[in-house]
Amino acid sequence: MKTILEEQLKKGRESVMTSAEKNLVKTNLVNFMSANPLPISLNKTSFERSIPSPFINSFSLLPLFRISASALGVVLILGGSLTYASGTALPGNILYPVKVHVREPVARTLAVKPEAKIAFDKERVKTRISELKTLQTKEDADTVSIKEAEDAFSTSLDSFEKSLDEGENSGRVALVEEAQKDILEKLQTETIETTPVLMKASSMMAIPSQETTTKESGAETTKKNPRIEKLLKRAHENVSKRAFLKERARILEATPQPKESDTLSPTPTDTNEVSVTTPKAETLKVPELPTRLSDSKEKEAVLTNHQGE
Amino acid sequence: MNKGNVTTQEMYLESYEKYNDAIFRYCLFETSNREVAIDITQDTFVKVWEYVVAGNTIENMRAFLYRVAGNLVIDYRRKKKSVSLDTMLDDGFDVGHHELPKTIDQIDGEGVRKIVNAIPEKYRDVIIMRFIEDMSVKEIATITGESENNISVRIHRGLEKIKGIYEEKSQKISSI
Repeated sequence: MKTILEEQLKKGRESVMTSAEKNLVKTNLVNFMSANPLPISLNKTSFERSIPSPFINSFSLLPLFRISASALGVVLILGGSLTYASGTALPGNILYPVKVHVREPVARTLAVKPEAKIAFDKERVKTRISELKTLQTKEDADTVSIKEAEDAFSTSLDSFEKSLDEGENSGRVALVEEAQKDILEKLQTETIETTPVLMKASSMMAIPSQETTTKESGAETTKKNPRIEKLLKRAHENVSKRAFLKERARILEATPQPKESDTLSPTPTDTNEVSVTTPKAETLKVPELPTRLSDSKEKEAVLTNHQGE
Repeated sequence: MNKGNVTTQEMYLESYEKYNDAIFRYCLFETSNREVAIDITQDTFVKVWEYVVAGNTIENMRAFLYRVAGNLVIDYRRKKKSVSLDTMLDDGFDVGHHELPKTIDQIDGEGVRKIVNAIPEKYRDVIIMRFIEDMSVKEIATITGESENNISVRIHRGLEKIKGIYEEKSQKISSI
């Protein structure tokens, strides 16, 4: 009887929903699903059980990942501290290369616009000048320190000149002129304050080759640092030359074109003597390219007089 | 909706097509009310969808559906106490001699439902799953969370209960 009962119980499977009832429930479910959609982040079906990769055991990589993360953290902290500490390093200091080759180039990459580049490079050149000043006053400055300062100064000056070129090409003439003026003033100030002999030599366009006299607290000390003087001279010459060429181009542009009957002698291509024809057919001689700050002042005076005429 | 969501929806609707009859039967046997059984069946699939949307994973869809449906049936019973056939008979309800067949060979689907509904709840579930839904003892144990031995014992006792109830009712009908 038990087997018969079991067989008869299977007749209970006849109890099912009608097609209409099934469709009604299904419609209600579809509407509910539309009103409650799956989150976008649930890309994978939730019915499937995720299968771990047989090739990579994530647990075995965990310790390695932890070590790598720790090492990276230590490197970042140490690197950041060193870079920060290198901000006031001077030539000869162990952190000076970090400052010149890491800190400043990274900061330079953040300057995207031409005005930002000019401003950054201007300050960097000023810093280099100050470093040279400090190095110049140090009696124990060795050759290595001077070489470091020399390289850093050359790099900074080249970058500054490139920024000025870029600024001029993008029409930021006023900004370029202001930057040049600032550097010249810095050169003048630092030189006057620290090396009167150098300033005197610079004004005379005859830099002493072997000796520079420094006056500190009324006492005169003699030091041999011709390389530093040469660097300062180069900076002065480069910036002054650039300012002069710009000023000369402006004069030529503002002057009316000469008539064919007018005589030009000598030709304007002569860099030492440029003759332009004024409406009164008078010839103006633009002074020689200045390489000294005093010369640039003389040039400005001449140009002022010329414009007045 | 991206491809992953579509796949999940398709699998969900596929599960509905596959298991809606079984869940409905289970609910019908447990509640003895067709409309209530349809409502609970629908609520069961709604709960499953909400579970999926919450980001949960379902490993055994069939077992999960039975568990959800079982909980909803319990909730329904709490709201409305079920009335057993014995209680109905004690209250004067006459099933009539035509409602149960004279022999067990004449039993039909409706008769099976009435007989199963007459046995205690703890035997009813396993009888439905074992003989109507044709589940293995292992599957029933997984769904109910009981041991396989317990399930086997309940199946045996459930059958004895059905046999006893049928024999008792048959004697009543014969005596009328």
